[in-house]
Amino acid sequence: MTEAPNNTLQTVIAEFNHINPEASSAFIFNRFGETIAQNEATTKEQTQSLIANFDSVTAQAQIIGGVEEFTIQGSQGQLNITAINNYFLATVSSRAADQKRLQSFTHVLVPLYIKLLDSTQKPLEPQEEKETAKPQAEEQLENPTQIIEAPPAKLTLEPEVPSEQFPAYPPIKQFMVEKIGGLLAPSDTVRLDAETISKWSTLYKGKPITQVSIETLEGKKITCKLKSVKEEKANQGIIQVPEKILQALQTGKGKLVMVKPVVK
Amino acid sequence: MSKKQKNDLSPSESDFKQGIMVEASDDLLSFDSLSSSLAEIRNLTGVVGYILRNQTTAILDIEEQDKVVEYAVLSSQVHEASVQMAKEFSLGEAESILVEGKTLKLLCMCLGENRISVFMDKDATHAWIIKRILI
Repeated sequence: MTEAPNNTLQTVIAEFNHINPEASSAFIFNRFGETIAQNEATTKEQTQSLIANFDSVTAQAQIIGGVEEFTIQGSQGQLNITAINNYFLATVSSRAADQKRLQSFTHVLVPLYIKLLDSTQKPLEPQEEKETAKPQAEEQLENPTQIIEAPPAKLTLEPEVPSEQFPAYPPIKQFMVEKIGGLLAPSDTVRLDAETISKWSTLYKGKPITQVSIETLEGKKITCKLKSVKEEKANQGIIQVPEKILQALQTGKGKLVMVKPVVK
Repeated sequence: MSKKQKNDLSPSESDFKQGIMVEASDDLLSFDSLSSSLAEIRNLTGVVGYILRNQTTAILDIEEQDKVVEYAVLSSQVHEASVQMAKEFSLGEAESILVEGKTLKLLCMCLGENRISVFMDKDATHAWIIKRILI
């Protein structure tokens, strides 16, 4: 029990039994084998035993490309370990558990929280900051087809804004895709309504929002330039996306995407 | 069993996640029977190899011959770890274990005294293989 995001993750994990009444244990550990959060039903001995056994598997798993998911179907229950960035989420539930609900917890809710927490932690870690600073702006935009796989996210989050600080995590908003084309439409730039851009700019103390990160519900993600739509009365729920970016995201007109501002 | 019946029973990917398992009859769980089933499974697209072993005998058929030891060690480790985990969390007998990596996935099953490990491409349908072994 060490790191800063523990409280948030602890809250999420503590809710596990409420979301899945048929489930028993849930806990998160990191790649160093440290337990980050666990629910009440899980004992320290259980977490330590699982981590040790899981570690013995991962140590031999290079041949299959590491371990992203580990599932045991037992006669009386099931255990699942899911890799999320540098963390692992372990859940134990009965065979009668609602699998869809379980999946939404293990593959949507917790990954989303961990991603958000990770993104807020990056500025605190110089080495990671250095790495993420490199591929920004032009490098990324010259090649908008660089896709990052991410777990599907279906939640729209509007963060609480501290009075004198930037938001703890960027606001994520859902938009419907509209295709734009023509000679005057740059292939690396998407367009949003001016009001949304203005709101985001206000959240970031007036900083100009020139880039956004777009993520499809299937998990395809891309960062690209942003401009406001030309029409004065633009629809707020629409994002105008050029063909090249649509292809990169493997999405199309009428599909929903999650969009968040990227502030340097 | 007729071909039609087999088709009717073809499981979906979600069968595994929903915990739908098929009971196998004892005569189908003999080493020889499993061996012939796995030999057929080995020919399926996406299956890169398998290991079948009991206390006295083992069959290894792995595409990458030079990496047989690594596959065998992983298989053994997964079986041992899953027994411990199942015991610790009162999961009962581990019927099947699925380990998904970035490139391949491994399906392990314990049938009587026989241990099966099937290595396959990540997008291969492991639920079908479970049923193929058990039916």
